[in-house]
Amino acid sequence: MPREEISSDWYKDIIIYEIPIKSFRDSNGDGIGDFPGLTGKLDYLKNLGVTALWLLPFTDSPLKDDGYDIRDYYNIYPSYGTMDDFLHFLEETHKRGMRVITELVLNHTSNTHPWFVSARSSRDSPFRDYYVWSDTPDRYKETRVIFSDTEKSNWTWEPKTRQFYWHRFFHHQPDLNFDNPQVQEELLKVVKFWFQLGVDGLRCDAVPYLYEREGTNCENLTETHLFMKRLRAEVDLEFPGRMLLAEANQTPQDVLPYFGNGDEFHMAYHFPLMPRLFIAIAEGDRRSIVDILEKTPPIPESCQWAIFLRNHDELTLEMVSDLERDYLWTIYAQDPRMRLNIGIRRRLAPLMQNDRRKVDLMYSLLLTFPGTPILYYGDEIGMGDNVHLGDRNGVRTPMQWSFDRNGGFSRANPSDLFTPPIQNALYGYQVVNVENQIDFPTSPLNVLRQMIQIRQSSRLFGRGKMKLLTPKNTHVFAYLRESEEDVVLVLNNLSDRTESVVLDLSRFRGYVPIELFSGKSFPRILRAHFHFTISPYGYFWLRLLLPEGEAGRRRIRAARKTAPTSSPPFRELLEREAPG
Amino acid sequence: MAGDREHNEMEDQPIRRTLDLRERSEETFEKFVEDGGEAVFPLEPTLPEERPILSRIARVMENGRRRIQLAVSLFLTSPGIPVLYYGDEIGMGDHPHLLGRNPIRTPMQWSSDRNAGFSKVDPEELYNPVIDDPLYSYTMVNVESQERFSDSHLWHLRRMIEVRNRQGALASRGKFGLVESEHPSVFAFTRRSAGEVCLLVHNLSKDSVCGNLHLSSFAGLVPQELFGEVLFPRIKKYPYLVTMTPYSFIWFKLLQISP
Repeated sequence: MPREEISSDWYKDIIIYEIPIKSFRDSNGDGIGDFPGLTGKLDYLKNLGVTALWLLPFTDSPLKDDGYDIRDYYNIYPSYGTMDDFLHFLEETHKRGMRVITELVLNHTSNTHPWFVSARSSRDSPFRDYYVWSDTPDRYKETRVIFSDTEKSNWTWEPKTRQFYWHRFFHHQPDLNFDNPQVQEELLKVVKFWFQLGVDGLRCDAVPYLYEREGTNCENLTETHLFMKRLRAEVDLEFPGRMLLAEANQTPQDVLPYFGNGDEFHMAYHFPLMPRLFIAIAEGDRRSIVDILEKTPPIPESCQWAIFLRNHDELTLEMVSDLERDYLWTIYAQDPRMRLNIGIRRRLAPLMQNDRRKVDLMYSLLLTFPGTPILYYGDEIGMGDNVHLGDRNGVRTPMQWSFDRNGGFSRANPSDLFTPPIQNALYGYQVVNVENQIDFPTSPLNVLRQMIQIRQSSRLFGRGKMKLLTPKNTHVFAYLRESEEDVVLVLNNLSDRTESVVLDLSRFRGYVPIELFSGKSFPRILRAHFHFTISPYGYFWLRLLLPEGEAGRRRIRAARKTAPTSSPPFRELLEREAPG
Repeated sequence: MAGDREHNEMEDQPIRRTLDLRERSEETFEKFVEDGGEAVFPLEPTLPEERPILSRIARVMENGRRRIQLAVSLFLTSPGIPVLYYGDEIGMGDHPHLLGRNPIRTPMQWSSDRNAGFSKVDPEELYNPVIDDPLYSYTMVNVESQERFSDSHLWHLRRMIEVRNRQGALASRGKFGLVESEHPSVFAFTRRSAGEVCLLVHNLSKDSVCGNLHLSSFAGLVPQELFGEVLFPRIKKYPYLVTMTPYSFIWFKLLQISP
């Protein structure tokens, strides 16, 4: 990709699609997804309209935590393909104008990583100090246990060398010791290796936990920020224009320091927003979203929030109050098996009780909010989940391409699949699959595709300011997205009833609203107050334009043309396999 | 739309006719096609001859959820006694290659079990095969699945029938009156009986649109939406603005509430 032609803050204008290689497409019939399989589906992704792919970990690993337990930072897990397969994928993705974001797991390795194997073998190992050891489990007592369902303590006893080692996640994922300069150097080497290969961004896993200090909760420490700033400076120097994304599941105030003064991370997830969207649509009321948006501080000019509805983990409820958590559990996880740690392990469509209107509305919110949206594979067609698969595997089942054997994911014997595809009556691959949804214009896939097309026709949604409107009717959530030359009014009805709402649009007297899905005009705004009726879970996206003069008329003509095309051309793409 | 005279006739006479959304024989869209010149509905060019559409409502509406529900709304709020055709309540498809009128006479789809739960015989023994096209397959379109989530066609239809049956004005005798909307895609009308007035507004297009309803003869009344019972702003002398999402409809009852 000709990088120099694209602005260095390209990450503000992308739509990210998150992919576990293992679950996407199996090209060689061994029952496990692989890079050639993914490469063969790039045209599908291009047509969906996403512009960046975020790959879950794919380097060598015992896969006890789905690859976040790394055994080798430099080689591909054999079932996913070879390094050549990866490079071919990277090239083909760039050829299509899409970016690639991969994982950087800094905080810990697998206990099968050669460093730890050596470290645990003897107190004199040269790698002993790569990890955090203690004679007692009483150190850092103020630190919470994150995987509270499976782990009792952050310390695990190592019998051979008779010390405890520190781990913030599973006991088979020992934390690296960032006080050791060698560890820092090793990980900087990893970063440079992947940027050298050509990846465009790194999603940095579990960032808040790098350092430990007595008397603290061992999260968000100054030392962590110092290390990340150093990493950023080296990246900027050697690989300008590459992006770093922080996974820091914290309140917006605590995430803010990860942006530094624009000299640490380019992006960070907005974790607390997501559960509030689910609360708002359950309550049919905007107030919980407004509340979290008001608590979100401004971030440096060059930085960007990453926003999402669902991802490969449980719907985490760490960043909500106890009351809100109980509410969400009651609404969305009636079955206690759906709960995991402090969260809910389900996909978007089942969380929305398979209600198409609610699924579409959630996407309307996500795609018009400030920030860069992340979509989770399979959620574009409304895939379901399987609570019996344990841990978070229930939301990582094979992608459902068609109603053929194994949902078109693999030609293997069904018993050879790494995990069975969803087969239940409402969400099974016989019912929910890409091929079906390409075939009719109002399928979830095609509606989402249209929304993406509209969002990507303008930089406004990724970069513009958001101004909340405050109509009396709190079932309706209305806001303006504004930049210097463009303004879009968005209305979302969060309730299951037809609502009536009066918006104060006095600022826009004389403007004409253009409805963005059709490109057609609404009546000109003549009075200060505009009355909208809006159906259950309905939404309007309206560009407001002043039609005066030749310039105004030209802009209205242009606005009409941004309406998305209705017939998707990507039916033929289904059959195509990996090129070359 | 038909002329004013016809509507007056409809208001004057008690209505005893039945109204079919999809009837057991072929739909006769031919005359619409001839009148309008351009086909409004997708006539299947693969059919052996130019003949009426042997399709169920779901296929005629291209499987669009909102379009199917819009058609049902028009059907349940128009004057006449609604006659539902089996299977349309779950959005069943049809089998275009069966002979005669059999395409729309396939076994009812009760569940995703063998023969769609219709029969336990071997599939070859069935009088007609069950529908197993990807989009309309009995594995997805069946009563059991649709019982399980409230956004299904079955549940929407249940609620619509329930709301309809509560309104005297929507019963077959309620008088029909057209309401000017200033937008060709916004089809609004009233149904009236014994002091009860219902206002029905439909957006017939795939676009979000605005209508300006001419309701001056109802000025002073307050519209209440019938499914959510939300009260809307009082009707004034000037046109009443409604913004409608694609293929949406609103059922109102007009209430006398003192300010």
